[in-house]
Amino acid sequence: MSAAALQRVVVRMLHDPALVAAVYADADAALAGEDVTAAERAWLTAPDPRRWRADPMRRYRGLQALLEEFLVAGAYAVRQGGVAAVDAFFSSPAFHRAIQGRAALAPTFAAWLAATFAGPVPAFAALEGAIARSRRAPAPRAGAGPLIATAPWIEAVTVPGGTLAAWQRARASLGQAGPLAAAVDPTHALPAVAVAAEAEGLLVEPGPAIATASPDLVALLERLRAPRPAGEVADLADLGVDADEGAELLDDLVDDGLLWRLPTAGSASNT
Amino acid sequence: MSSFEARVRGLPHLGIGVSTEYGAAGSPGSLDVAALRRKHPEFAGFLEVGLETVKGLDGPTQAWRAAGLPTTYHFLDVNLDEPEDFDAPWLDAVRGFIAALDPAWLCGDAGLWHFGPRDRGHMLLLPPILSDDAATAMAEGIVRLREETGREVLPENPPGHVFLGDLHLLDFFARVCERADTGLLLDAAHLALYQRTLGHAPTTGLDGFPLDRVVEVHVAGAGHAEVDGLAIVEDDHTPAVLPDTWTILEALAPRATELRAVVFECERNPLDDCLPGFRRIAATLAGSPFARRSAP
Repeated sequence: MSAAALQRVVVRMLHDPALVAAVYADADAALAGEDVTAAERAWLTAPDPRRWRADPMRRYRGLQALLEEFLVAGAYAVRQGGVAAVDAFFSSPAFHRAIQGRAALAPTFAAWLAATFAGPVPAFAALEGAIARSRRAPAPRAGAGPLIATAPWIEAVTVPGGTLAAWQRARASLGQAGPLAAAVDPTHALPAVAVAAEAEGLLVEPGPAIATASPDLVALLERLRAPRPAGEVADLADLGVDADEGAELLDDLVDDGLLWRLPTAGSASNT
Repeated sequence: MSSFEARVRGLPHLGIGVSTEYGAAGSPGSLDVAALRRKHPEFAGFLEVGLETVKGLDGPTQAWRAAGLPTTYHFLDVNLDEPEDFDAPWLDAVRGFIAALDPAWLCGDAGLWHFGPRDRGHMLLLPPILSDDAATAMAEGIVRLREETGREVLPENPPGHVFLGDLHLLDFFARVCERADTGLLLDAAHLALYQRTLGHAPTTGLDGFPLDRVVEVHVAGAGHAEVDGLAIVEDDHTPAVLPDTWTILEALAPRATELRAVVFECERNPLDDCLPGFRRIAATLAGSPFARRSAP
């Protein structure tokens, strides 16, 4: 067993009183499947259990940080179940899996929102998740090499039609001064959301700058998330583009900064 | 790489100094380090810069450095025991700040600064698991950061409310220091919190600790709080230093033969409120190897 795994259990217990109670009641059952020895389970229950609650604001700070990135999805989720329903993320299996697996919380929260809440929340979570990824992306730069891929600073998502316009209206309704307070205030009215049955492609670039795109373009960008030899990619017959047009299209997309060229697959992450 | 015993001789003596972090000087009623330097240079020998690479250096810190004054680099964003935390962009940023600050050394809490990958919303500070394998992992990270930056890296004992493991905190850090062949930043206030939390006397474990590894010491105030009837102590960097912390400083002063720097962590308090603490630090260290090295 590694101390790292035990440390991650500590982080989970510091965020989730329910886990603390479960571990103190029956550590073997609460930590079944975790790489924690009997001795280490005894360490977890040695402190006075109140010590796990010494920082009562920890969970609220965590929720605040997440809602700052998922303002609109969070606001509509709060309207469906109250702040407590959103705060429940920190007691969810998704949260615990993310911490134990050293995963990032923002995409985990996006997926949890989409799976937990109805109405426009999944679409807004997808868009704000793309914005969150874009915020962490490397700055645009030139590349060269035989491989071609979607530029790591470009995020492409497919959502129900009308999502972008609805998100922009909702975001504007939260205002610029204290939008988080408005988002968690159930008395703050949010615009009604109506989305179309057909899909809408969205591109998110650093800034963020958000634009609609054809579903075919989003599909191409998703297909090229993993680098591939440029010659192989030129055949875009399934997208209605022949080989000659395909090569020209790829050049245009590179010029537009949506695709980039790179020498090796590994260099895609060398940002 | 020569031994710590040899390397420590090349470290500068910085004296008594103060700490800061991004934006601290802009808080209402915070310590004006430039005024401290003007009025009491004996308490402003250097500035310990708490650095989170995504935030960078604030104006007062840049002004301090522009004046050519000494610094140390206190990292706030690396889990030393996680090899994956030493990613190229972070190391590049650290090297950039080293170039800007020219710090005497790097130092910082050897604990968990963030869960998951380094990211917004992931930051916190927890003590390490006090076990033998954790000490080995921590030592490996210290060696790596020292080699990546070319600077000494002094681990610091972090604060906490929950400490887990089968080692006393000082035994843990003794192993870290030996395996990384490094010096230590001993935070006397954090140690006092640990000893209270575990029900020990303030100086338990100091007898067996290699105090000649202590290159830097922190002194800071603490506040009292209560959780459902349980009294706890918070490391709050006020000027109200716990008696236990003074006891620890008194115990190590004569034996910390390689002590080069002492920080009074009071960055968010007015200068006049901090002066008694500075004066008591100086008085406690009077006659020690540290004071003899400080003498003109």
